[in-house]
Amino acid sequence: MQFVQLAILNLRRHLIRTLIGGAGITFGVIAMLCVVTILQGAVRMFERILSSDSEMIIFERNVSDLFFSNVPEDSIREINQLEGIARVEPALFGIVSSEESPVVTCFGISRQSTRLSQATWLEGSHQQFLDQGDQGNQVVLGKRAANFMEATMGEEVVVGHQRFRVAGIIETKNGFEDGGVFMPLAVCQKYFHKEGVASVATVKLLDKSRASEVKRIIEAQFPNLIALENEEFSQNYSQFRILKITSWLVGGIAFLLGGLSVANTMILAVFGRIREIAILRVNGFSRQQVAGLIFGESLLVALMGVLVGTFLSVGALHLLKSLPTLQGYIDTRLDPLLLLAAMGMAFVTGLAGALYPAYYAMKIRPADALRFE
Amino acid sequence: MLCVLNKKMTVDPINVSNVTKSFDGGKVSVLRDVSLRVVRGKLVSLCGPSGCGKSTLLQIIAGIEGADTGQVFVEGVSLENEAKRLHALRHKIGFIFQLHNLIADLTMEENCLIPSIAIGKDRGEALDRFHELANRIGLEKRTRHRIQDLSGGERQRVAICRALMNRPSIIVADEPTGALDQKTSWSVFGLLCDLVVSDQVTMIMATHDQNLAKSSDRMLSMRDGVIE
Ligand SMILES: Nc1ncnc2c1ncn2[C@@H]1O[C@H](COP(=O)(O)OP(=O)(O)O)[C@@H](O)[C@H]1O
Ligand SMILES: [Mg+2]
Repeated sequence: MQFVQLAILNLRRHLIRTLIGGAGITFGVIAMLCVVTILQGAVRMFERILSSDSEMIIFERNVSDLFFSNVPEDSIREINQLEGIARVEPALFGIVSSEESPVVTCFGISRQSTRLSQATWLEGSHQQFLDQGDQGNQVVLGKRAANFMEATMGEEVVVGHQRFRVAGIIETKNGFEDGGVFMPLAVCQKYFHKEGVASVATVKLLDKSRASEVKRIIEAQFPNLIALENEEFSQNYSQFRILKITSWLVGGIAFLLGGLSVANTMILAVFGRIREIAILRVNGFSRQQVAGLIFGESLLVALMGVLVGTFLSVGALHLLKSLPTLQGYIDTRLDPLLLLAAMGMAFVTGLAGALYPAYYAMKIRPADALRFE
Repeated sequence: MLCVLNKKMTVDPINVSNVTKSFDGGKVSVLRDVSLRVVRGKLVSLCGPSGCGKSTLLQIIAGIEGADTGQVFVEGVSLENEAKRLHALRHKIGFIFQLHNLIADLTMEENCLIPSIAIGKDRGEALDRFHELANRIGLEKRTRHRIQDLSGGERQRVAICRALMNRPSIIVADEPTGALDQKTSWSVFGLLCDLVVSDQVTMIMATHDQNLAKSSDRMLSMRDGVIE
């Protein structure tokens, strides 16, 4: 029998206690992985909606919420003429809610937009849509939107206070887009009473390496606009920041609660085994070895918690992903960094939880502990 | 080399000189100026009424307790540093308690392997030693049994087995038969005597059984913290 085997043996002897301690960490890991993954996924999707095949995004300076940002169409046209720019696309975002579907996101975009040309057309085609010309009341539906509106191509659908004709149904890789309604920009502007403006404009550059130069030119010419590279944007956009911080906080606090369960388990494990620890000491265990045993047991509990927690999290995320109502909104990719963070936290919790118990165990005097039966 | 070897051979395994020990801040004086030498390969018994200080003396020799004054040498090594005492003696001394002090819900094998974990001995080697000892104490069929399922005599044999795992040169036994009936006492005592002879172990044993004490190589009487 070796040291580790003794630690495992001790954990097995007090199985219920061990499982309760491990369960704390398991729940901590699940909470952290699921909350952070879901929110990260949501942020990632939102980023993709915004950036959509571009390197830079322009919006109104000093506006903290995108839905309130106004970028004039004239400015967009002028920026399109600037040197070094391949294409600038406007996007107007609006949300409509009705009784049947609480949230329908509307995207006002140009008819030529890459959002339409790069999507998979389930009904109709982009060419056909372009050929029809602007009839003033056409929309293209995302797959899921078409589903819950029970609409097929050529039919009329009601969006809020207005009827539209379905000119096509598309599928994207993005849950928000799949649940959205795409309108020609002018139609969308009229619908939301935002004539002449877009929420943001996305910029595709001819040469990515010149991004900062282009940015400076735009901001010099249009003082009330701000241009950010995509990464810069997702780091600075306050809503994303709040979401990210919140998710880490919630996950971290859940983890701490799990850590308390390990500390509790280990305290019980030591208090309940004072005589046994004295027996180890008189059989040659040094204080350090006793402390090592306690830390070892604690870390094993934490390790078990992390493994089970990770396993269950992956399962839970896949389950959530497969739920029809959440289709496309959940990204089940586990960030390796997040996994590493969870393991690191489990390790630290395991160590911290064993700190006092190990100290206490080291202080046990064998002569005193063995005197009474 | 020969000289070093000779010197080592001539060192008494246990050498206690002028040891005093008191508890409760000096209020309870338990050992008063105790001196004692044990010659290699002998079985020495320590007799005396309950409370005279036998256990305390044995625990000081085994490093479980520290002496207040005086000196203790075990195999020529002074036992002064309290923190390291026990660990330093783990190869040298096997301790057998009156109340076996085994872990009740572990098996015989698991209990006996604890000393070899402490010294980081290879598992295979430790198991070989364990089975050899289990055979000698006649418990080879009980190795997977939990201590709580064994009889008093069997438990004390397991304790002997555990004490011998690291091939100590000294066995310290504190009333090893104290909780056993007459017949079992003698068989456990017989076993200890055999081991002393076959493994050339030095043993000091506390007992208040005069008959057992008389059968040992040397008998010391203790009264009120003094060896008479
Ligand atoms: N830790 C202690 N604190 C106070 N008194 C103790 C302690 N250990 C032993 N004693 C006392 O020392 C005396 C000798 O005890 P002990 O060595 O166990 O005697 P024996 O083994 O000969 O019966 C007893 O009176 C006992 O109560
Ligand atoms: Mg005693």
